[in-house]
Amino acid sequence: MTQLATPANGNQPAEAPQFHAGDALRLFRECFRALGDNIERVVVGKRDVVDLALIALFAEGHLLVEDVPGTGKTTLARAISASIDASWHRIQFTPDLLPSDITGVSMFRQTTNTFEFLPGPVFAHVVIGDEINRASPKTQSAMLEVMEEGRITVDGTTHEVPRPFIVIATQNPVDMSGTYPLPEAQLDRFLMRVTVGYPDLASEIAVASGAGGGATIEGLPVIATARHIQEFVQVARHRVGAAQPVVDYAVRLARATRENAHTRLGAGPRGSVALVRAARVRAAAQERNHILPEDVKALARPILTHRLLLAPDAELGGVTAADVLDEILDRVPAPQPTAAKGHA
Amino acid sequence: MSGPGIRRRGWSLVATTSAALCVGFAFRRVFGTGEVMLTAALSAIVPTIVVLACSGGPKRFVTDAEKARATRPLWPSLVLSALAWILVVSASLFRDRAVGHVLPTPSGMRDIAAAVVDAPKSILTTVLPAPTDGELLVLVSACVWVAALAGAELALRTGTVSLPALPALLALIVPVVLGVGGPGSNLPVVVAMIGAIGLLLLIRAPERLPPLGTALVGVPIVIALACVAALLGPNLPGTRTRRPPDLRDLVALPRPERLTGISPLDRISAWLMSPDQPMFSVDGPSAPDRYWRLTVLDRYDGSSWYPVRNLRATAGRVPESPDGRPPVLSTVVNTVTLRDLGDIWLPGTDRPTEVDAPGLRLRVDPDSGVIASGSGLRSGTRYRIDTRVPALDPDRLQFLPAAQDPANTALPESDATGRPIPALESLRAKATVATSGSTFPYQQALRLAQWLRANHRYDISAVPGHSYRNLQFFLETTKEGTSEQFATAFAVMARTLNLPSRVVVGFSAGREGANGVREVRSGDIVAWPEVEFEGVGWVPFFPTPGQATDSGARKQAPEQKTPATSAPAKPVTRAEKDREIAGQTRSGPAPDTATRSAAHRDGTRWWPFVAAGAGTGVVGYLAAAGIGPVLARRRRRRGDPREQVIGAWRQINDDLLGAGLRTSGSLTVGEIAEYGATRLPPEAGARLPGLASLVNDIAYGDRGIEQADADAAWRDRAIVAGAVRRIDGRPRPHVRAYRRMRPRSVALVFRSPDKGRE
Repeated sequence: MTQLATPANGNQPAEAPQFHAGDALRLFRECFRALGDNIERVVVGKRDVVDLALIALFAEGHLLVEDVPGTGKTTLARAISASIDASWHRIQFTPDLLPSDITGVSMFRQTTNTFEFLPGPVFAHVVIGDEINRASPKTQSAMLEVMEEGRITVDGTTHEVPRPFIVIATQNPVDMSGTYPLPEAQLDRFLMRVTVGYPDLASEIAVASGAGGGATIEGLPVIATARHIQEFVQVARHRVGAAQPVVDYAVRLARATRENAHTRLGAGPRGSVALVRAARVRAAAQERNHILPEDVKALARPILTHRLLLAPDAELGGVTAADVLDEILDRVPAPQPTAAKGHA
Repeated sequence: MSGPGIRRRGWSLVATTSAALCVGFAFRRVFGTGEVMLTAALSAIVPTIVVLACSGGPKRFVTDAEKARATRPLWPSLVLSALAWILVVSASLFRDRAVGHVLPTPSGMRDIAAAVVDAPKSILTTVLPAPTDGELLVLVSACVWVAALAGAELALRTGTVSLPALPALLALIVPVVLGVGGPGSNLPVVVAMIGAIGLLLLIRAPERLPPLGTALVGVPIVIALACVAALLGPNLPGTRTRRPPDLRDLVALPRPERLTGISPLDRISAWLMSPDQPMFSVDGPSAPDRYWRLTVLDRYDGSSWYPVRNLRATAGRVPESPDGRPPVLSTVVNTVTLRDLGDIWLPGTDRPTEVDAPGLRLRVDPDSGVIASGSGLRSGTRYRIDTRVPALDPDRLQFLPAAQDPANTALPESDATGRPIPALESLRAKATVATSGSTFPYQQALRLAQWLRANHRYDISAVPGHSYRNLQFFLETTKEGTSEQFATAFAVMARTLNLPSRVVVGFSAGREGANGVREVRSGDIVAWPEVEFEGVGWVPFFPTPGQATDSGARKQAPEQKTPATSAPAKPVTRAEKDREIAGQTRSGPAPDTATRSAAHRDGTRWWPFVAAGAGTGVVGYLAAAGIGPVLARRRRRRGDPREQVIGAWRQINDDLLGAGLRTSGSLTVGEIAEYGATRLPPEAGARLPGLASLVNDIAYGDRGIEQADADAAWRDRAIVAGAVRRIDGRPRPHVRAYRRMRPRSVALVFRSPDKGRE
């Protein structure tokens, strides 16, 4: 049995995938689709956002969900965690939250006469950070090391977080009073930033009427285990090739953001690396063993936009980062097909 | 293996040999065409054969390792080429010094080496065309040989397209530089070199068309380029009026081997006193009013006039005067037989073009046309001289300005102690009086000559000499002199008026004998001055009044016996016209109509050629835009199935341009397919996503492709093309024409298929 399927009942995954050379990508696609279908049962009408979130998951990146209240940001994060048989924690960021509230503390235990580390909520496969911009910068910075390196150092001792590890943070861009906007360094550590947006009319009616069986997050079946996810991460990383022209295209897009007149700061090399990495996941999700310029182009907006810092003139002129990226995508030549091959 | 294929590299030897031959052909201005071509041909073909044999003729390699093993070292080719060159030069150019007329001796090899080193300077001190001696032709052989050898090695050992032409282009510099001022033009050489390089590019360029197609497209382009160069090259602005830099101006000339040290001007009195000494005889047409020039004296130090010293070796050709080229009245050929003339100066005419003097080592002054012998003259020497008699038109001369020639207006102003020379002021004052009322330089010169004739007498017993003091004595006291005093006084006085002047010593036409041969004797010696005018050059004047002849009769004044009098169509002689001009009284300078009309005649009309060039460019561009899509479509259908599928996709891209697809280059394959699917009817649009997926798999994946896939892709393309032609809202014809004619579109269709569209 190598097929993944949504279990009809119970919250356990059907069976661990048995990878063979020929079916790894097919299993990846089925797992990806099954997870997407599962999440869409509670996040109705937002399949594209769901797919982007899953791409971030399989690319071992972190996701920043930005939107106004009531659009399902937290629901999306919780639905992802619920679909995976993996540990998850939710952190509600508030101004009085301390770094140790996230990372954990070392306590002296008198019975053993030793210090014992009590892990914080960040030690989970899926960490949901609600309203991350409400925490103080000091607390936000505590997330930096763990997001980038997957480990935390407390009292000189390094503690690894479990793999796979994804931080799904949400923030509300409207009610900005009493918030601390994320610094550029921290924004750069999110693989992508997505906006959920309001559902369309039909989806909103379906949600309001309880159509679809009234699925709840708690009732979602588990589709894959943490081990599945970790193996699929390796499939995307090692079984999907990247032709040199496509890699060049990704790099040229990232460089173009740095050379644009409207930007004060563009995407760094981390941006182009993230672009290729996410493109591999998107290709694997379509059962392709190679990435295409289309993959790069489709992912450029969610991956690069939040890395741009606009020049003051552009901001005053009403130019947005999305506008800049649209102009870059329209200007930078895409690689054209040739008979010559070259894989990176 | 990159670059042209093995067979093409072999064939490119034809082009490198042709380019080397062009180098030899370029020496035609130095030696003449017939003289150099045999040497050039030998020197171009032999090294090519040596290279072919030594560097391993074209071989087909399978792997890099085999290629490395098969590539032969360079040094055997270089050594054998050097030996072959010495052998060829010894057997052809140095035959008389070779053993058995073939093998070089040690001294012969030293001669060859010395000749290669000395040849450039020898050529630079020789009036072209240079003699075709082996010592000079060895330079031709060396240049052509090096060009052919280096070109052939580069052609066989490298894959570059144009590099093998570089040696020939560099070697071409040698004959072009040495040939400045030589007869003929470099234009045929340039055209031939363009042809050879075009041939090289055609052979070695990346294969985009089959050989026949390359020939059909490339050969007309190369011919068209050569024709454009041939038409435009000589008519580019400045090419006619600007004199190219000449190394001859920088080279020190060897001094003539024998000079007596006695100026012919100083011998006038002596020869007049013994007038019957036979100097030379002239056979051939010779009008009684023609003068024979012995030498020209253009430097004056206050006591003596000195003859020209810029004597260059020549094989017989006398170059045109750099100062101006008056219209030609007639061309005359004479044979001169020397008697008791002696010294080094050969009697010549104005202006000689060719001298054929067997046994004489000729020298010529390119400025004045004076001919000399490098080794002295012997009685009985015969030579032939061709003359182009200039037509001097007083109507034109009377309004011309004097030439700007500071060297020929210079006069010593002070003596050895630094004190001003009082005689000079006296001469200047007399010149001013003599020419008062003159408005133009020609009228000044005429009035000066007239004043001298009117106020002084001819006397062969007058005191010789032409220093300032002598001239002052002649003008103020004796008022008697020979042509020595009249001519030198005129020249010095003209210089005080800032008219460039010089003195010529020669002979009058002599007496015609019974057999039609004119005998020129010592009593016919005469000197006369010349003044230089802008655009015409040196014009003779005759200030000496009627003089006593050996027979005691009175001859007419020389000014009445000018070359212009031989023009049958002229109703008025120059002398009559000159008298009229000298007597005219003008209130001020007349409009310089003659000068202006002359300038108009000489002006370069460059605009027709610019228009022709622009027209050629436009026609070529339109042709490229017209045939470009056809060539591109044919090119895209060739190659392996992968290339054919990619070619079909590119063709669809071009087709979709006609359906409004934007050509920014930022669209991916999927986006183009998506555009086509929404824009075209379903039967065509539905085929695009599948084809786009196939194209992406080929370009970025590792999907195997069969010929059937390629055929299906081109069938899809045909359907898409048909659909594009039928859809509504297709851009209007002028929009389509604009898109096709854009430089970007033209460049795209000629681009290599592997470079992609950006």
